[in-house]
Amino acid sequence: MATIDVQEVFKNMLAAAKGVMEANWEDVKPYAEQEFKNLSENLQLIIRLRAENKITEEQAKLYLDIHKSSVKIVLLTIEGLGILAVEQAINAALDVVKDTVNTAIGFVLI
Amino acid sequence: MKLFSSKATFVSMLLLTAVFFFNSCITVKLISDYDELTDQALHDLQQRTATYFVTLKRDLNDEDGTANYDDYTGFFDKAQIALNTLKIRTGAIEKNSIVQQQVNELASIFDNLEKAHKIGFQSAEAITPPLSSFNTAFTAIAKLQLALKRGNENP
Repeated sequence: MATIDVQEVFKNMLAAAKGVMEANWEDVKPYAEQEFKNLSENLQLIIRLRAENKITEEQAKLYLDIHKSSVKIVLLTIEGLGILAVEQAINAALDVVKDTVNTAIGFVLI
Repeated sequence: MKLFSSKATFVSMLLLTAVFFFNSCITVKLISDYDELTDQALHDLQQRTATYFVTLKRDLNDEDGTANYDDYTGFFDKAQIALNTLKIRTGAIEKNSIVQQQVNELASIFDNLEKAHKIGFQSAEAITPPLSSFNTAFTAIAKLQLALKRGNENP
């Protein structure tokens, strides 16, 4: 029966995501690890079901496409969380400017 | 005709404009605001999909072990309508390309699931991979939607 190294797939997925999300990696790492582990196991299941003839070749291809789309959705969420983290950092910095200006001028200007 | 009657008025106007400009820029938005209608529509679609898989699994575990596609067309029609509505809604919101792409990928998942169902499922075990993919996809989408609430600032 055809098999895949789930651990290897998992590591490669993590490495790819880390490359894209280097700056905010620590924030999204627990979520990414959990989801990529599930996705690697799902990939192995598709291969096993096809090898045991429990799904057709066409269904295996469709399942792989479904699998790819779900990976993309996870990566898009990771990207979105990264953008939100950057946004939060910018706004925190702007709040400091606001506080500094208001303190210096002695009343709430902005 | 003089636009400003005195230098003091001109300076005041300039200062007010600067304050207004700075206030409007003080909060940066790099990604869309949370949209309750989108979130609700995605939640409804997730529930309908969960119902589909429960029913499908029961039918496949029955004595005859069949789950004819014709009995499930209603689910796929409703899902397609919901996804078309979501595509329009998410496309109308600014800085929303990430959610828009997620909806497009979700539509692709439904399309491929329908094709797989048309071929026919042999057992309940055979539907485990798409069920797992759906759970992963909906969890990821819900996670981003929750984050977009930005601490309930714009729920």
